[in-house]
Amino acid sequence: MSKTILIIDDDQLVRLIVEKMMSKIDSTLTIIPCEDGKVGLERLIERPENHFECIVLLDLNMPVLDGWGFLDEIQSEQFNDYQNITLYILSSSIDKVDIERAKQYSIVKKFYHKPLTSVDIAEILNFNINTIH
Amino acid sequence: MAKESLKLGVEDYLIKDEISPAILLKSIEFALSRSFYIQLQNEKLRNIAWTQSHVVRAPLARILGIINLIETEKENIEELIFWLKQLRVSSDEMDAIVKKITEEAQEIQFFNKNNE
Repeated sequence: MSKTILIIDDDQLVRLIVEKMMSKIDSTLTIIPCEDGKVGLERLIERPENHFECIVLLDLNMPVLDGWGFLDEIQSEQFNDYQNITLYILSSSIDKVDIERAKQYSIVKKFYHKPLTSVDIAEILNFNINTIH
Repeated sequence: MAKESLKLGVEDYLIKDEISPAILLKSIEFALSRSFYIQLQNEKLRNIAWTQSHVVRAPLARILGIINLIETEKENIEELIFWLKQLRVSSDEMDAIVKKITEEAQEIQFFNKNNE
């Protein structure tokens, strides 16, 4: 019944940092690092226990399929059962254009700017416990 | 009066009684070339803003993230050496980006001088 975390980011070091900080707070998490949006979508679809809670941390600027492309896909009709998915943007961008654009997607819970602090990570993990259960 | 205005930032002027087709053409051509360079500069500024947000902040965010990680727990010495190495790599990357942006900004100034 552990939570699944998808870290979708082309920056390997960012994936490693977030993974380390998260597993320190909760060692039962299933963390799936994905190097771009396309891989992220594939992992999201194939996840075996898809009725369990899943948290997605999504970078914006990525090769192959970027964060915007990922959001378009996930909000498209063929992917309409994302009730168990909580999605956060995690970008280095502090550009207002990006922040406003992210607001257009109803699935986006919050826009985090890199780097995540341990307080942010606790918030991401706890917020879900409080809202879902 | 006209020369005073130029000093204050007016880019061009015409004298009412001395307008000829040739002078008018020169004025229009000047205005057009001016707006072309302004567009070019705007484009460069937009690129710089995007680069600051996505490219400069990428290694910076990594550096800050690594520091967050080191602060949350006392890593063993091998891990600490690994993270220090990553700090060096990201700092060097950021240094190179900032230098590149500075060079590009200087190109804009160079542009201006050539067109004065």
